Amino acid sequence: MFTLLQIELHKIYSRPRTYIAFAAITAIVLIFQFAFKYDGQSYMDLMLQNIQDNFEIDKSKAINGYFMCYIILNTLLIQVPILVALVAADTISGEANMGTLRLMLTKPVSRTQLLLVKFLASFIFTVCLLIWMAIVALFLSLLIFGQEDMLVFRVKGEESFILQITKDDIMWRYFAAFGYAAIALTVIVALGLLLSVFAENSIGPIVATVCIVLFFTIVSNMNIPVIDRNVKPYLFTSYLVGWKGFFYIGLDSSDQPIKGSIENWPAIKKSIYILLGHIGFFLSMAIISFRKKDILS
Amino acid sequence: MISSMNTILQTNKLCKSFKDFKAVDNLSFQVNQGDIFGFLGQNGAGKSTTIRMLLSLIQPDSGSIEIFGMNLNTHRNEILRNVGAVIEKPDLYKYLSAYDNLKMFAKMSGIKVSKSLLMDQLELVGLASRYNSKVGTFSQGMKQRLGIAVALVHNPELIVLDEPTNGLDPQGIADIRNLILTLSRDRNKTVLVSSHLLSEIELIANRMIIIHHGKKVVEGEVKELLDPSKTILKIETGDNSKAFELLSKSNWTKGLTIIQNQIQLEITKSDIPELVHYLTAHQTDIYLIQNLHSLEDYFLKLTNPKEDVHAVTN
Repeated sequence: MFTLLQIELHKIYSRPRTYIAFAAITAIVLIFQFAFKYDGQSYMDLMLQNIQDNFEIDKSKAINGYFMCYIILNTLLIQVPILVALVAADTISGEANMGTLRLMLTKPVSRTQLLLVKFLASFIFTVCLLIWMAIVALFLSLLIFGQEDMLVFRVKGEESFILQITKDDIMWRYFAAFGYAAIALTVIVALGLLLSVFAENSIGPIVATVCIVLFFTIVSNMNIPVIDRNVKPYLFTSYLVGWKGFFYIGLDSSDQPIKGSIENWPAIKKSIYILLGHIGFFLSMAIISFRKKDILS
Repeated sequence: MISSMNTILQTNKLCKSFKDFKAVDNLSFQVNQGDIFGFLGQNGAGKSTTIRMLLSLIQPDSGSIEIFGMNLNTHRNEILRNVGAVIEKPDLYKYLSAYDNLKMFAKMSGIKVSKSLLMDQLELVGLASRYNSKVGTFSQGMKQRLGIAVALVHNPELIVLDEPTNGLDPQGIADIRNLILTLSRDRNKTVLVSSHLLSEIELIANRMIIIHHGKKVVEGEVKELLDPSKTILKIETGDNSKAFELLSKSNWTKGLTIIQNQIQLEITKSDIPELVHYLTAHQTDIYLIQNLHSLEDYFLKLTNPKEDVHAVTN
């Protein structure tokens, strides 16, 4: 199994296409950092225009490495599923398209084993992508903008407010958030893999995965009561941004932040279980379909 | 264990349909150890479907496959450890070098890989000097040779080559032919090689099968099948089932089958009068008896598309 995994990773990292995702992330992050370095105050003014009368905020310290990373993740973690789909949805269909799938399956390796290895390899690719994001979005931002307490802008119902997290209480939240993002993106990996099983070229499953993610994301962001109650709880896209929960710090009775706390840990836990359920479902379906599939490519 | 067995591969009443299309129909044949077994049929006859079933790429609808005395369904991995295959085009990873492709598939075959082993294989197929070149830069012939190196790298007992000379120039065809002969003679490998060209099979195979519309037409020793004194006979009678049963009990059972409402069998020309007498003596009315001349003529007729067009337009 380990040898097969090595082979899969070798294949993924030998292809120039793999590095598109890393290059795209780097480019977007650098643009953000450049823009905030030279015109961050305008952004802060815009964000604070409704609430700055109630708070006294040192804007020069508000833009710091932690804050930058939060802003970047807010934007990027919606687009990253597309980058993950580029690799995951290509795993089986890409091999079928190249004609290498039939050769692989004449080797003494079971189809279940092969699919699991491809899933693992795509998962490792996703984790690498997140680690790279952490390096450029978090550590590079910390280098450029420095460390300060972090402000989190939050909208809850009709209310907008700011949460302040002290700088010594932030890093673990980022590790947890990246861990959560890894699980969330693994759902996309499993979905891409499932769709990949049914196709004999990469374009179909990649487009299908991206379309499903976009469609479900749009539905997940609709604020219509009937959809809130009956549809959203069943869509995995409703849980993709659950990582933000780690930055919603718990407040005491006098609305003061409690260091090291999370406002709603049970909700995060529930989201993780739902995402893991989706991974299990998509992966099982992929294995069942792949085992029965006639290789005609 | 394997070397003590005579039959390496045996299929039993193999059937496979794709929706309404019956690709393989009740196909039974056997390949013996050391054979270069020719698998002959026109394009679309069901060769590739059968080969894919032998390699567990396609699941048969019914029937069974035994390789090395083991059932393919229950001993897939054990069997495939001893099988090497090139299926149609030898598609490999274009962005990897010849060496890396070979190394990867050798590892997948579960063997201990060393540089010398890989280089020996590349040497065997004449690609040692290009070991570090990306496969994307290779000609069709070079890819085909690398595909064969991939099929041989784990030293398999049985080698399955599906149309290995497709798309090759005359020199490439000759190289592959010589390689197959070397594998059989010098390395005692069993080779199953498919083709739509009788001339190609005739040059290398000792045994062969011809299939048409997924059904077996004949199977046997190449020398015997191509003997000009032998012929394929088509018979149409008043009661084909009865005639078939009568023939099953006779000495003329070789290649005995019913295709498109006609009985077919292989026979020595001099036996034809006796066969006619046998059937008429058993009160069987013969409406048509057609001598298809030699097997070669018969195969050429099967594979000549002009004949088909002629039949349709008539």
